[in-house]
Amino acid sequence: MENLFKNKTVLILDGDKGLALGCAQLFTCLGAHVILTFAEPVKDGIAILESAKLKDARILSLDLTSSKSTRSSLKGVHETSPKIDILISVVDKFRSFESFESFDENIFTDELKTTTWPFFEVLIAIREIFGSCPDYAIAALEESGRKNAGTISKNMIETLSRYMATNYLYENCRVNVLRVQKSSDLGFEVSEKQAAKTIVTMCSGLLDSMSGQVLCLDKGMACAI
Amino acid sequence: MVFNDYKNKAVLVTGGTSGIGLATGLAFGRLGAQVYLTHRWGSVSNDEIFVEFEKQKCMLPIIVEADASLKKDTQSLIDTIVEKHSFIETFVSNVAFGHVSKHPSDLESRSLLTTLKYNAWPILDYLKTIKKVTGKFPRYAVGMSSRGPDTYLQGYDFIAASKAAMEALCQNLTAALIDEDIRINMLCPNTILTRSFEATFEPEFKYHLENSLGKYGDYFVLKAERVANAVLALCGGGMDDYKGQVLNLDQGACFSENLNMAYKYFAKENT
Repeated sequence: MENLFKNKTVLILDGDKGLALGCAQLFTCLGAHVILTFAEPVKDGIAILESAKLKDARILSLDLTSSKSTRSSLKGVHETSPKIDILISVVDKFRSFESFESFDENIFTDELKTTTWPFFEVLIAIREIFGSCPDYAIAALEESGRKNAGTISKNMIETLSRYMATNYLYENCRVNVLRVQKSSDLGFEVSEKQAAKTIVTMCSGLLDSMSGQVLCLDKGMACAI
Repeated sequence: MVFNDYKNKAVLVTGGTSGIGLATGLAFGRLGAQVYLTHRWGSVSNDEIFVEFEKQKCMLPIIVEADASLKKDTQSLIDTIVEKHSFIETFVSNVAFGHVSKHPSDLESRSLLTTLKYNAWPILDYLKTIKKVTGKFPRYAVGMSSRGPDTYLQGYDFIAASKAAMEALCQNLTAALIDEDIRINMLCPNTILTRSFEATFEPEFKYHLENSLGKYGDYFVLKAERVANAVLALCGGGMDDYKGQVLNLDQGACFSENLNMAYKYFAKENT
């Protein structure tokens, strides 16, 4: 099992997040070459990787809100890696609009640029630059437990994922969304370790018949409450 | 890739002697599990199944005739398993049988109840009996649903309703057993060309799927082995916090299954 992902390249966006690091550790244990993206400065990324015992992982400095930066960085990766086999994006920091007054198009537009769109920007750019899609693209949405948090963005990510799965249907590219219950007062919180195992399982080949799906990792919370 | 060790563990697959059931049995067999396969009619000989398990270097399965709708058969089956194993690690409810309607006038409540008995209730009966006999629930239970509840398949009324009942039942059971060490999930595979498919749909439809849809047909039709792999994913330890869910397996093909895409496809084919 330790060589399951040998010679595979895994690109994980926003590498400073707990689940991103958990995935990086597990994929590394299973033989993958892992690249984590960080916004500037890179030295912070080095420190994070060292403390996460991920010295072999590669850091990619990348402003995910900039199409130009995304493409330029990916072109650099393409010089040494012929393919990105797996793309993982851990998405959190969703805004919640609770009162009528708090609804603001500018805030939503900002969330769209920073949270909703980067996964798709990178997926499309990989297809253009590497000439092939990743075999697996997963957007992991962390559920904060706050009411209505990110509902609009999450709906968009889920719908766009279904469309991308269909757009790339014949390109051996599976696009799926994993909703992870990160915070719960009632004992339904999913650990980063377990969520990382689920993401790895989704990329293991066992679920190759699944694409364009939204999975809820919530210990059964949706049924029980 | 599974995280759990299945060596010598008991895995029960109902409707296990052909199609998805047999593929699932073989998948667990390859992990070293002792697989129990049930059947009602035994249309495939035990010898053929043993040869397949031997070929794949698996422990030979134990094949038991058991009608999933009969409590006495379920009890006897679980009694047989506990002679060798103190608990059942994984239970896969794969039995599917029901009334295929030719016209709405042949839909009767008696047929609906029979269809329910084979599609929805077995998962409950098996879990109750396993708990009663072994003292614990299996760690994993997987039910096999179908696309019927979400898309119209002619003549499939009662089977679709029964699958919908099973999906809701699994979610209710997940809630009722939320503190137990059990994960109950459903798989919803798209079209698989098994004997059950042949018994349900007209032969021309199979030909159409295989020959008239080009590459899309390859994605639309699923292989039983791929469903078996998904069962392993659910029961392999990597998805232990995944509970009470219905997972669609359609290779991404179904989202584009609509008249607009059919028009584009056939218009292109005909020019």
